[in-house]
Amino acid sequence: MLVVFIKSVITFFLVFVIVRLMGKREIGEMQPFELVITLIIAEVACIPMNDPYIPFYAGVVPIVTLAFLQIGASFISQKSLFFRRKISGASVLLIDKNGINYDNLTKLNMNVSDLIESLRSNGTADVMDVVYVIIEPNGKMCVIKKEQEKGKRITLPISIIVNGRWCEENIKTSGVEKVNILNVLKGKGIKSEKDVIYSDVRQNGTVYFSVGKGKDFSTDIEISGGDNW
Amino acid sequence: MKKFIVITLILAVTLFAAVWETVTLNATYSYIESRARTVMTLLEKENGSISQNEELAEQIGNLEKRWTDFSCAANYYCNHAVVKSVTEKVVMLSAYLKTDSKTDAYATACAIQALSKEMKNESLPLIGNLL
Repeated sequence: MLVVFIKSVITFFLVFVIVRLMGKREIGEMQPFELVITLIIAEVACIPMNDPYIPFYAGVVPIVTLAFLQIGASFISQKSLFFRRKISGASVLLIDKNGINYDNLTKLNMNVSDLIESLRSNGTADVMDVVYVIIEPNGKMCVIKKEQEKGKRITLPISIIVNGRWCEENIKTSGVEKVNILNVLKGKGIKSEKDVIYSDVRQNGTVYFSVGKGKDFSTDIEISGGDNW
Repeated sequence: MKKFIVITLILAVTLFAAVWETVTLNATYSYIESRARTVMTLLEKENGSISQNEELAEQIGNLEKRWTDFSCAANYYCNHAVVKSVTEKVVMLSAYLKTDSKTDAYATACAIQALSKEMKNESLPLIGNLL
């Protein structure tokens, strides 16, 4: 039993270090693959701890390997938008300006009843009160209601620059001209999109910029795809 | 970036230990397998008392010493049940030599040879072990 006790103490510190390295996100905020890796690590840590016949090292190798893969995937996700989409998925619109998007609902293996149920759980009884319903990559539902923005056109920003890289698909959807964006940046003394951490555009043409060094700002530009989303 | 470097270093140490383990296990089990095969050959040739055969005693002594030295380290990365099983067979082989039980010694040497061969193959990242 003393062996099990010592193994438990060592496992505690090992898992503690690994979880700290993996980040502080709560279970509800984790991406699907992060949740799966966390569950596997929990399971793997238990086996050598309880079984005196299995060496402790047999638990260390999978824990360290999984942690490396998780941190490596997060690291590459920060650098590559394509990889991030493949790993974490993208936000999905379930209700948009045309109403319920049945195609997206089917992609998420949901039916209309599930959607209505989820809306009620979010405190929305009437679908007509909703402008947009978005399912985030971590599975959370974001509901944007009409009464939140009385007298003002409701807009849904879509990202056009993330971590200094153009989001080509969103640029195409929004009809934003890259030249216009670069002109705005030049006007603010910013050399290129690489110096912008985040930028998004709304249906009314308002573009928001968050730059690495300096204060964030917004401006209005002409866009051709305001009705596309 | 800092976290990625830290976990990469930890993984490098772990992988180094894993490679070292594979090399050490392979070398030891190869040695034991070859010694067991030699013991089997000597037992086949011996017609008289096996306890009087000095060469046999030397071979079994070498095998026992190598395993005794290695068994403690083997516990770090092998299933303890397997380590105990090999220890048991090595001790039995030595005891059969002292008690002059030729057939039992031969059977035990056969078991040691087969077990060490199995363990040697199990330590390698072969497709059969991976899938």
